[in-house]
Amino acid sequence: MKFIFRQAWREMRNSRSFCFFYSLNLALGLAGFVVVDAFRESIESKMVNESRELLGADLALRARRSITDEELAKARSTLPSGTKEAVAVDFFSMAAGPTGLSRLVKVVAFDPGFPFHGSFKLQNGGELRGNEIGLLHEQKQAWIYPEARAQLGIGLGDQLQLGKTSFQISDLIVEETGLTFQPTDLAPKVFISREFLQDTKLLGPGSLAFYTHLFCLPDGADSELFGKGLERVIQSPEIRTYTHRQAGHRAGRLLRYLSDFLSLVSLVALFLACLGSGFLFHGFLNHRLPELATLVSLGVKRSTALQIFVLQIALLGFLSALPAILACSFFLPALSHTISELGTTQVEVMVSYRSILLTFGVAMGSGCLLALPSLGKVLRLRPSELFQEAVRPGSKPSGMSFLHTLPGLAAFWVLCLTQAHSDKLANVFFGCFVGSLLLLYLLARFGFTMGEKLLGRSRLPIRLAVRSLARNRAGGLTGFLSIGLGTLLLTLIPQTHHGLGKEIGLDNPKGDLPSLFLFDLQEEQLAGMEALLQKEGTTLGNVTPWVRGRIKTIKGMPYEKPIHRDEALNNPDEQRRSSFRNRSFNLSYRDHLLESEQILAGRPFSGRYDAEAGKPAEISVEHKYAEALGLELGDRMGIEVAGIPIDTRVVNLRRVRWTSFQPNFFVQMQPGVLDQAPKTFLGTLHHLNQQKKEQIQNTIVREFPTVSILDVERTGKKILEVVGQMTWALQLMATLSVLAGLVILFCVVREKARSQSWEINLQKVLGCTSQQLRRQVWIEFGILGGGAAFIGTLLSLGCSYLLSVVVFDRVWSFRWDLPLLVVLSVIALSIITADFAARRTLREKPARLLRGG
Amino acid sequence: MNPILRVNCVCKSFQQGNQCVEVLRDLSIQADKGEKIAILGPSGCGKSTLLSLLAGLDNPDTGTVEIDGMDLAKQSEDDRSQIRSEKLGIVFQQYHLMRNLNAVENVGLPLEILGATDFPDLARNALEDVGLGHRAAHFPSEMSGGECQRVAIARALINRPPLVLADEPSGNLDQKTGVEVMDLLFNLCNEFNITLLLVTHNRDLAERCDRALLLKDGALAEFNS
Repeated sequence: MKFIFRQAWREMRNSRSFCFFYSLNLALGLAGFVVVDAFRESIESKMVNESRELLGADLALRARRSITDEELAKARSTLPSGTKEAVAVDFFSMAAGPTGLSRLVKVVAFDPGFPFHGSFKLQNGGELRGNEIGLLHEQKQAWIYPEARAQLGIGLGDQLQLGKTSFQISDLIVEETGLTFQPTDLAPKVFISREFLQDTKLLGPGSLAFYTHLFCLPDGADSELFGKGLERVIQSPEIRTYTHRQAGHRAGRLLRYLSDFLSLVSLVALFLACLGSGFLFHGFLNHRLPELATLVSLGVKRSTALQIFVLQIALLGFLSALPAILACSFFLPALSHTISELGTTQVEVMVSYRSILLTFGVAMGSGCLLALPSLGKVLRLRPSELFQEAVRPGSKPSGMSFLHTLPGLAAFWVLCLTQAHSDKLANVFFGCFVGSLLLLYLLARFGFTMGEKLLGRSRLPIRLAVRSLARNRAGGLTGFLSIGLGTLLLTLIPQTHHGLGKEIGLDNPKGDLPSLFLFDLQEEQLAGMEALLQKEGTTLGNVTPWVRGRIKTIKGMPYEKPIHRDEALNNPDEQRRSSFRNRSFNLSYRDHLLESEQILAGRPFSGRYDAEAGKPAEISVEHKYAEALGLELGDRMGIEVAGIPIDTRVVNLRRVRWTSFQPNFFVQMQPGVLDQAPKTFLGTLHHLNQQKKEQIQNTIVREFPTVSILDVERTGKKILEVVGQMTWALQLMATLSVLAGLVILFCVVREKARSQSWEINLQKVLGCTSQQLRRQVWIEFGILGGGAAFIGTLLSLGCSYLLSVVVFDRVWSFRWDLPLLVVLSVIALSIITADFAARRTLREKPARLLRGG
Repeated sequence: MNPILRVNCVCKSFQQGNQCVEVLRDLSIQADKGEKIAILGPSGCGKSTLLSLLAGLDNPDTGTVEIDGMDLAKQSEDDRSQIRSEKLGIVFQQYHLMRNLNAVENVGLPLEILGATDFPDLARNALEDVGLGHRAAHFPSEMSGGECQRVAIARALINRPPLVLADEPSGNLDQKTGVEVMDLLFNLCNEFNITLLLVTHNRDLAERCDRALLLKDGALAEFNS
């Protein structure tokens, strides 16, 4: 054993540059991996350890309507004595400051005692627990976020108009706990006591508000057990039961999605790093094979020889993990900043022991896997070739090396599955990744061969460059794959972001995006509103009724509330399906499609509903909603509106472009059925400049305080801000991939220059100048980098289109400047890197090289 | 006295394309302790193949190769490694020193493989024996061809193997250095009573051996100059 350690150490000591580049490469890939893993761990730990504070209670019932006494009695019957209760209501509404400036805010009205766990941190009042909050429940006071203060031009002591009454701003919120069901909010929160909610008169029939009953169990009670009991007795699909753990998971959704995507992107960087390190190890091993043969001829067993390399790989893996973990101290603050910008949940990101151990494991394990194709050579080594003058031991090729890469690919697939919580996402990602890799490989091979044929008679440096690419394929292919994949990632993320930005259309003043989106319009307010708007010189467009419905039956079977499954908590696909299935839903009616809608299957409505015909009412269902409910064309669905059952049949499935901000619904019914149902209205205002928008908004709030207005531009910006922050984090990881690609290119050139030093020297002896040889290197690696970047960019465009079709419902837009910039930058960087890497060999005197060769 | 090397009716052939090339045909040879045997032959006559078989790096198609009474073909791969580390010293034409080890480390390597702990001192002494005590800390790339071959000889003899296989040890050296290196090898083998099997093109060297054999058409015959 001592011999193995000594020999491994000696070889590493004397192969410092190999060790440095191997470790640098792997460390780059591992840095992303460990940062993202630490990020994920911190989120999980936050959501698990502080879930009680996030909910503000142990258990909760939440619905879009007030929970009936009967339902509450059932719920209470399952809970232990000594359970404390509080109610909180949250909804969006307009708020106005003393100057008349108005904004959309999220009102949270809560009972004394809330939050049972956690506290409010106020700018002046300090930290207050639920039972310490006094004045807010005794006087008409409100706490607001500093963001709302800035938007409304309001200060401490000022009056804030909410509906028909006003509240005095008594403090500013620094941090709050409780009711964290959403990862982020589109409007700043305003906290008031539920005691005074009635006075606002904001919640009329059909108003959209969430009612949450919060329960604090006595000490020692098992919240999971009682949560299951609650779920059993609450049968209505409209009411969701939450344990604090489930609420924590829900609150952490956005961050978990982000960490899932980040993980996958970081895995590409890791894969590229492994590819580079594998290439370097291959070169190192090839170099050492004659010496290995000598060792075997001296009596060393092959297994011992193998152990020397495995030990070296493990040691190098260990050494690579150290700087990667240290790099966390640079990357984690940046990620923490991103998270703080993203949402309501504050997460302190730290590297856990688990992350550190996992990183060491991945570093050493991936090293062994990537070395597999090369280590096979040790077993096939023929030391007898030492006696043959013209043969270098281990130089004979083997056709089996491809099979040795399979364990590495399998390990990568397993990592994808474990890092992304959705099997579908992991498999799609892995499929796209391997497909891209294969395509890049085949195109590179084809390109190298064709390049040699087509440019075989061009000028000498070009001829030599393409010949070198075609005939020294291993290095060329490794460089091509790494640069191609890095470029793919680097352009894919901003391309997708651009598509989304273009779709939201903030930069298109002539677009159809509405300026203001009005909701909670009561039927009796419609005429007055239209008159007011006419006076202001604009008209209310897209006036659409909004009806609340409940699903009673699907395909003739009673629709039952699905029981939460623990495994669904971590699976985004399950979460989406579950959230669709749990909701009572919004529906509307009209006889035509909006331009943001497209029928995918079926036919348009046959016209107005004929009650005499005795046929079911016709409905049009959004295709993803239909998929979640298991609905197909022609299926029957029983809906209840205001207690009246309606039998319906699906006549078409629609795609909806939600980002159009037009009044769209999951279910549309043919006209003539819901005309008399209780409803509110939605409407849009178009083509208003900022000043006019402010003016109309303030007027509406003054005249119709219960109507809520969404500033589409502001909301779009907020969405893009969130997406932008996520994109930034993803870009950071993608940049790591490109960096890894460049280091690989550096290593490839260096290795090529070293292994071809004899040929380079010969060219010098035959009359080539250093400048000519340098130009040859530029051309060779310019072609390599440019070709890889071009193909990588094309693939990224294809992937972004695919993503837009599968995930974003065809939100795709081509941005030409980014690919061009990336391709040109990669060519320049490739040439500079290659020049830098080959410089030493090119500068050496030919006589010296001849002696060395 | 048992011979240290006994090769009995060895045959070895290789497939080259569709053709089967018979390199060694019923070859037999025997070497006693301390004996010096030269093997001569034109290029491509099978000298390298013969050395591979004698070193246990390859197996004969038929026949036996025995070193110190042990039939190499009957041994496992690991046992053959053990035999090489204890019973054999090999000197290559191209030295095959470990580039990443300095002279003293290269010389001490066979002892290290055997698990000895006092190898640095012994290696230093062996380097002194070949006149390279002052080059102990130098790496192969910092030494001349002659010096590298002296280090290779020291390495081959350090564990006092009963048999040394030498493949054209002076083939890569100029005449003067070649003579010096061969003198050294012969002297050391004589001093330690080591059997030497020397493959060479050089008739003068062959004449310094106890007997010379000519490898031709896959078989050995006595060589008479």
